[in-house]
Amino acid sequence: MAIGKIAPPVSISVLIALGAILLSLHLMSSATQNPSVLGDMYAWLLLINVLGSVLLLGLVVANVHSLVRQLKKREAGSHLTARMVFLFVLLSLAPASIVFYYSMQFLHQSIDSWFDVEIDHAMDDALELSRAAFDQRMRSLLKETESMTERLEHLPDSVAAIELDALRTDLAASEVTLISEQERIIASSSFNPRSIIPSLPDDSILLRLRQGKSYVGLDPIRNQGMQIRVVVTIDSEFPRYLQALYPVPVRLDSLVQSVESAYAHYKEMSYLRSALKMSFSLTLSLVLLLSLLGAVWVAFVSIRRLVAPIRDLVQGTRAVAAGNYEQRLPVTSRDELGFLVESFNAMTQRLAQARDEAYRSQLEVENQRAYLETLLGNLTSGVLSFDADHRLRTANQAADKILNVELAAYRGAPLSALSAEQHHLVHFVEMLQEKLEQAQTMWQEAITLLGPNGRQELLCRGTPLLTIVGERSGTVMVFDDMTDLIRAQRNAAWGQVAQRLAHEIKNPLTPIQLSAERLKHKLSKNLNPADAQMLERATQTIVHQVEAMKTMVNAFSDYARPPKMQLEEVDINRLIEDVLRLYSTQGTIRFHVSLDSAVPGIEADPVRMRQVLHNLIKNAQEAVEARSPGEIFISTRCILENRSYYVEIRIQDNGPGIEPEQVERVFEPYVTDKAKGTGLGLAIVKKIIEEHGGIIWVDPDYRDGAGFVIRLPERAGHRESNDASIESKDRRQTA
Amino acid sequence: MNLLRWLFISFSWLFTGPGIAAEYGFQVKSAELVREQNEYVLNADIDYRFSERAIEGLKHGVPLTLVVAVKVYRNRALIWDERVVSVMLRYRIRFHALAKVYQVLNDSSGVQRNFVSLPDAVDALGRIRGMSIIKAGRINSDDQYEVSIKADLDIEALPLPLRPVAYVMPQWYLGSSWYTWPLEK
Repeated sequence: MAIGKIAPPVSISVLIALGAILLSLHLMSSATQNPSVLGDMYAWLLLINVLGSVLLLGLVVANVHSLVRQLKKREAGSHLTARMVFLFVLLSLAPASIVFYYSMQFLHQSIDSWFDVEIDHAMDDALELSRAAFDQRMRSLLKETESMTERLEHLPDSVAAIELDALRTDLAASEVTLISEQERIIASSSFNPRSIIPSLPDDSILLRLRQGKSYVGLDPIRNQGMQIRVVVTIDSEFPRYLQALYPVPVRLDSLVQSVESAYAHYKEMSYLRSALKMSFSLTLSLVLLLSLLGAVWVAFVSIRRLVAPIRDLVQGTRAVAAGNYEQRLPVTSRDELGFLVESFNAMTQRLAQARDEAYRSQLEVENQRAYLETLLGNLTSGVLSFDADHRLRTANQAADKILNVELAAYRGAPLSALSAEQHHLVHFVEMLQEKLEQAQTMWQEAITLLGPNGRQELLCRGTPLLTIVGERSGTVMVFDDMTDLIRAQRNAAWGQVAQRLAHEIKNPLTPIQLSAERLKHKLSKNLNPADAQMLERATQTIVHQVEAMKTMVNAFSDYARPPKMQLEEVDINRLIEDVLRLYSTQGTIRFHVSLDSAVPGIEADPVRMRQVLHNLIKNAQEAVEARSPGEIFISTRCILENRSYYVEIRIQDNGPGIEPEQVERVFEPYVTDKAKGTGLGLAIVKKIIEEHGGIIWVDPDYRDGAGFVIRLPERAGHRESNDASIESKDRRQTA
Repeated sequence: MNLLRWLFISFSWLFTGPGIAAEYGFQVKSAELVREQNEYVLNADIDYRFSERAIEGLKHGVPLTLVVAVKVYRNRALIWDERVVSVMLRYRIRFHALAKVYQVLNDSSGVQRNFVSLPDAVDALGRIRGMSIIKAGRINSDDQYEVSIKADLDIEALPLPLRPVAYVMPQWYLGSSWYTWPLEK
């Protein structure tokens, strides 16, 4: 509401208006007491005051309306304002009303006291006395005048006019006039020569005369006191009237005037008594009304000003409670409230600073956490942390992979829950439980797991976590899957053993074979046919077995031979086609070849790569021999992984496939399900692929037989030239 | 003062209504402006019918002042009429308690007359004769003129305590309507 927000200049102008109204009120009050000076302005003053009252009433009503609306909306500070206004109105209304009531009483009693019955009588008596003072004189004057009429009775008008002067002197009158029946002046004689026109009696006097009565009465003259008017009829054939005006003695005149004016004033006041009361009451009521309304309005304005900082504070507190610490309140005064507002501002500023600091710290902690998580996520070692109650707090991705469990599901859960659901982790959890409960310092433990990933050798290291004050707050444990390392160490040992063994075994084999052939050659001629035949069989056996042993030792040697690769650029598609050419003519096996022409050349030893292909295709061929038709699928493609390009070769058959429990060990030496063979085929394949920096695994998604996937890194330096083609191929794959 | 008067009239009508207006009120019975030598004088008869309250006040010594407003307008074809003259004639009537007479005073001429009876006094009050209004030289013989007259009781001349009551009482609002006639030259 506009009035509710009166700015200082408007407020000042309204105060000036209020002052003007009060001034007019004062003038009106003065006018009531002393009408002569301000009497003419009375109506305007009354109007101004009534309008002022209406204006103030309007202001007060608007303020009350605004306050009621604020109360309904439950605006801040409205209750306080209402209470203060109510208190103020009560405090100002009560004494004002009491004063008003008694003032009215006093006023009415005072006015009434002016008009006493005795004074009434006294005034009437005074007037009567005044009349009585004249009565005697008037009667004698009437008689005198009537007696004089005889002198004029029979005189004609023209003579009578001359007689009048003498008559006036005899009567000691100031003016004598002879009037005809038609009310015309016949003649007049005046003591005052300036009085040209004689004063004529009025119609009612003449009427009285016509009825035969004479008239005598007092006749006030303007500004000149009284005179006595006597009018009598002159008896004759033609009735005429004689009017004589007599002066009144000066002393008597002044006394009578005084009595008359006092009586007139008293009578007027007496008549105006109720009006007087009313006008005084009106003035008093207007004074009260204006003062009260003005006071209430000023109270509204000042209370609103007073409450403004409190309202601001309430709003500010609400804002702070809602989390808005930027709230600053205007400091409008230098008093205690101003101090309160300043303190509030300082408080919110501090809160905002504290919040900002907390936010920054939180952000930093968050960043640290994200950093740590990234770090942990990219670690190949599994990391687990536990709280003081041995509940899992964090686990990284490597831990999930190594333990083959979604550890996020067990965050916050006790270790027993993990072992209860994941049976392969029972030993692991038992060990962990024991260490968590007992270990006081850093510990290390190797443990073997048997789970979905097969046999796993884990090396675990744990450290208790301590708080700043040295209390134990949990434990962090780092563990590695050592299976591959141990296996590699074993393979290396195998290689060395094989090499030594091959060397040691191969050396005596040639002399044995030569000696056996020499025995046969030297002795067969000297023996009888039966013995010769036996010798022949024996030497034959020795030669064959030695030959077989040689083959075996050679194979063994091949497996253990240190890498000596002749690297050159190899087009893998062409190599596959070359190898397949040898097989395509054999048997009934159907080959399905899908070679990607975009596959880049790789740097490899072609002979060894050929051996890899031979070994795998031969394995597949042997696997599908029993099938009709046997099918072998060979495909190549280029893939992008971890920003590196790889050539992927897939060889799949529709044979019986690999037993699930064999999948992990199929690349180990001497693991085979075939009746013949050295058991080194796939071990050699794996070795060669790894020597080329590639990997090979059994395709777990292929279920129609055995499937192998080889992935070889692209030849270094090839990327730049083939970028476009590979990218186009990638897009094709994506599509 | 006219604005104020109307404000109070409308205010008082809100309370009392127009119902009893017929029992009292003033009326201009006849009026003429005649040329006497070199000036125009007013002869008029006004019927003053005072309300009971006014008469009661008069009898209790409250003097009543009557204002007779006379206005002469020169008619103009296209624009508003020009006011040539506006005269306020003030008459006063009061009761003299000691002499028991009603005094009628013409403020303009200073003439005072006494009347034994009120009707005579009122008649005399309403009979205006030969009041000089305008010099003959100010009247152009080629132009058309209009004269208006009205009579009102002057509330502002009442004693002050009576005025607040008079402002809101129709019985104190005594006045005639405008009486208008063309000036005969």
